[in-house]
Amino acid sequence: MNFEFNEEQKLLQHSVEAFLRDNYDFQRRQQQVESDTPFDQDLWRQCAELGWLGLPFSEEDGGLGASAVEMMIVFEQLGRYLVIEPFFETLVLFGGALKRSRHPIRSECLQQLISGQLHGALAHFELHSRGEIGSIESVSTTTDDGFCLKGCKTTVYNAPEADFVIVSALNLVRGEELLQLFLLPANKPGLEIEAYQTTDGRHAAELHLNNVHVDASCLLAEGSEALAILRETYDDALLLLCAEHQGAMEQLLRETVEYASERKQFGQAIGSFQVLQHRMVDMYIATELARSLLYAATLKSVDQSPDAGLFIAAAKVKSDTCAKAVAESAVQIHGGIATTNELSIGHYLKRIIVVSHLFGSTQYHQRRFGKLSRQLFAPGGMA
Amino acid sequence: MDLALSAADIAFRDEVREFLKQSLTPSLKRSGDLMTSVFSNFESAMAWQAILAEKGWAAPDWPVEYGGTDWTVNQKIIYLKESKRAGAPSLLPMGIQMLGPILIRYGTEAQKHELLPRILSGEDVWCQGYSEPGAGSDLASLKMRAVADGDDYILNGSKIWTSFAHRSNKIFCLVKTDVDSKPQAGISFILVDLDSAGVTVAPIVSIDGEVEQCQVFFEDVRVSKDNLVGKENQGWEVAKCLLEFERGGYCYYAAIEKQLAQVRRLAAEEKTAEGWFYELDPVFSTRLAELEIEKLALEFTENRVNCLAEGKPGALTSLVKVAGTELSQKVDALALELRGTHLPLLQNEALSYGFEGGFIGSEHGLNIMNAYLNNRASTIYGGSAEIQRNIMAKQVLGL
Ligand SMILES: Cc1cc2nc3c(=O)[nH]c(=O)nc-3n(C[C@H](O)[C@H](O)[C@H](O)COP(=O)(O)OP(=O)(O)OC[C@H]3O[C@@H](n4cnc5c(N)ncnc54)[C@H](O)[C@@H]3O)c2cc1C
Repeated sequence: MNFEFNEEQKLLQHSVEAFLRDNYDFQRRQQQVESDTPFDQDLWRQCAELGWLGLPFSEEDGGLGASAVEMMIVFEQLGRYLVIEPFFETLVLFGGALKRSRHPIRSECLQQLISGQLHGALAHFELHSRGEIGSIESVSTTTDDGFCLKGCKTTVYNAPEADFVIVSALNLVRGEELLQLFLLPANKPGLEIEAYQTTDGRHAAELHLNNVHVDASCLLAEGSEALAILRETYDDALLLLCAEHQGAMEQLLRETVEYASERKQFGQAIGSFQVLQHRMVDMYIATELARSLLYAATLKSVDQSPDAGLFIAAAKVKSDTCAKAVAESAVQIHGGIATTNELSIGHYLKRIIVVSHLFGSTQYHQRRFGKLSRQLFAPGGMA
Repeated sequence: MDLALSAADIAFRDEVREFLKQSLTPSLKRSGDLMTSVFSNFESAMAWQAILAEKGWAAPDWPVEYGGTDWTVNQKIIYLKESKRAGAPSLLPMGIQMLGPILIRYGTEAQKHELLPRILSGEDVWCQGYSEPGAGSDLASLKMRAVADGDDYILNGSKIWTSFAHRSNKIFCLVKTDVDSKPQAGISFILVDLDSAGVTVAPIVSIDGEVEQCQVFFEDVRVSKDNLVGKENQGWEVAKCLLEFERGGYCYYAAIEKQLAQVRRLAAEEKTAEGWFYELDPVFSTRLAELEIEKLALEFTENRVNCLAEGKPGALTSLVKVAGTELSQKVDALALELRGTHLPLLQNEALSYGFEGGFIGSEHGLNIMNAYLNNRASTIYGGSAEIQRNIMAKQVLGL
């Protein structure tokens, strides 16, 4: 076992961190959030030039073929700096689903994405899915020259800015529900994007499929292939959300310790009160425990280990609970000042809470863990 | 020992219920149901106060001669509980709950005569100017100065976290009138018009995107010495007394019951990933049961405190404050689960009083994210959870 980054990985970590330190201080982020544009297109272009948008894609598709470890490194920094640019939505969700398909348009589309010219969104989950990939209600009916889509996708991040969306629906074939994925231009007639701002400083939408007619060439994948694409994409995504939490936790701990050392009440630094010291130590413990599972799950995923899913569920549960505890402690220890929009602390809290409920809650991932663990440890199971 | 309500109390409860049924308009009730903070939004609080003032119920804790009631402790609890249950908005506490009792106890006849009716009628809206940037938990270290100048004081300094200063016309402040003696000894309690020359109110945006708190700046503000409450340099005694009114006189469990009712309602409407209703989900219902049991323990603790220590709640208010605020935060966190994927939606305008437009997602859960965020403050304000524990360690356990 080895939990050290190699030289290249250290370099990547260093360059992403240095770039964000120079270009992404909190004040600037807030200006962007409060501006009319959802995110900073210039920054996005710069990241394209630095090659970062190509990280998770194969060389064949014009990317760099980085592994889950490199992606984790990048997302820790994105979390630490509260980056709102849609790395997660365009690269991990949209790009992640697209790169796993065999659609002829894939390479061309990904190359545009990597060069920073194309944005995407993955519109799969619905109000009642609550993280369960198989649980959607949108319907696809077969027509003469393609399909007609009906339904509603909820809280689709980056949909307002997307050029393309990947949409899922169920097609009833001979009494069986067949999962289908479609690649659609976002301006497709019938695709209604009800946009809104989100608590965590981003833009998302309810995506209404009002009888969207698509031709057969829009079909990206179906059946077990579509399911596998989604499972693998969301597993990658869950890990990267944990990585984001990880960066946030570290920064929260750092800022809290710093603040507690400076803030004086009763003639002494509040960091000298033992009850606060212990609470900060608990933040530290939580951060390290979460990190261990994040590393373990990421390495299991790189190795395509049979228990990777189990570890991803475990990492998600641990990361969400630790991140929530760390952020809540950070607010409490800062006192009144942390309840304002002016300090970063509350923004970490918002991002953490929101992210922890997007693709299934803690309760959901505990259940998934339970299910997978029963399968693994059942007589004749893999363990 | 006896848990039963007397026949008189039951009759009173029914009277309160009937009044609430008649008087709570749908928009007031919606506003009360969708509260995101310990405070209702300003418009609904003032609208409800006007209705209560007409009925004579706006300030139950005040003596009858000043427009209060002669209710027993039990009746006050019944009233609070029924109001919460019916979805009534909360009244802003700074005038009625905090300053009113102080004036009644320490105010001059002229102050009582002039100010109390204006609090009830809503003509005066008061805010509380205690905390300063450098004086939070350590309130006694406050720095705002009041320097005597003939019959007046000249005020300089600043107050922060002043709730609803941007909607108030008056502020009561703790100021230093003597900087040479021990910190507590040199503090006075003074009333200030917010439209006096030299006062600036700067709103602070909270993490839920709303403005409730402000920073208030005082630059050479001239205030008559008649505006002192209590004697010069005796403000600390007044302030401490007020803090007890602030911490006590509140019914945590009734507010938590309302939160739990919302959770139960949503649990009957929302489904888990497995496709059954949350209320039937064994894990969720166990989590809910845990909190309901905690609520019951809190409820009877509050009842005991209120019955035992009528008028003199002492350190027990610290116990209730810690238990109440920490439990309400746990209920907030449980509710997040039910809101699920709609948590990120920013729809603050849909929470405003009288809102009739459209919104996305279940209306019954509209306030959940904001309430969670806002309520993080409840273990910070009014004496933080740590400070309350320090008080109990010292005063109760003698440590
Ligand atoms: C939403 C909100 C509304 C408010 N409304 C008003 C208002 O209307 N009027 C008003 O005057 N004030 C108001 N306040 C201010 C409030 O009373 C203060 O925030 C509170 O006293 C804490 O002070 P602080 O924020 O400066 O935190 P600090 O005092 O700086 O505390 C920071 C942390 O240190 C801890 N700490 C401090 N001392 C000790 C100790 N001795 N031992 C252990 N831990 C300690 C605290 O518990 C906290 O966790 C409000 C605050 C909030 C958040």
